[in-house]
Amino acid sequence: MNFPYTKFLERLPDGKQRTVLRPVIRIGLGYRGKVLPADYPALIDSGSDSCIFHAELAELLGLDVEAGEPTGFRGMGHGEVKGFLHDVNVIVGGHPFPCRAAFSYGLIKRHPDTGRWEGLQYGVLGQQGFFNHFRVEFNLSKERIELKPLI
Amino acid sequence: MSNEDLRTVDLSELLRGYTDCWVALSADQSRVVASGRTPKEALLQAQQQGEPKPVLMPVPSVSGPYEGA
Repeated sequence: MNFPYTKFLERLPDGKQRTVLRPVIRIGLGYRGKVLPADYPALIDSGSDSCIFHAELAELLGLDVEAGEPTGFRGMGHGEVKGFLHDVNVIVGGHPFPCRAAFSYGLIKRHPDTGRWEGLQYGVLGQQGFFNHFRVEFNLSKERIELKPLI
Repeated sequence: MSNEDLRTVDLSELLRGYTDCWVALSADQSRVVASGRTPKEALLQAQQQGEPKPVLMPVPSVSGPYEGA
């Protein structure tokens, strides 16, 4: 399966903006027979140990976020972000596969004074839950990603 | 979209006028169909606009630089 890269407008803390190409693909999510009635962008990130999705989407799936197993993750220079693990189906190119993913309300943080949002515009597809299902080839020069299912 | 349309998806201009909200994009990701404070609000508005399965995503005021999750 082949997918294009996605170009984003990245808004930086100093107010500057720039465009960036990222290996972001659209995925579907399913939980206990229910399928999210929308697609959702997710970054293919080999540096992430796990798959992490916005908890705000859980309501649309009928998923009780905080009923999941608590977990946490860290990025460069950031504190711990809490999440809750759930067994869901991720749908890529129309093909569903099982994924134990973290749902987190911490991917978007709201500034306590201004109310402005800061954080990720997409979910994250990491090693466990995604790279154990696909061999991934990034081709930035052609702005394409190739996914080959692992049997 | 796999093997169908391999043109780079360009959201950079599309989302320039949106911040601090969830947006619902058309299925081909060529236009913003609806926006709201929650994904549910954006989804319901998109469905009312005749878009049965949009692409839902948040648009924060600050979104980078990304250095790993």
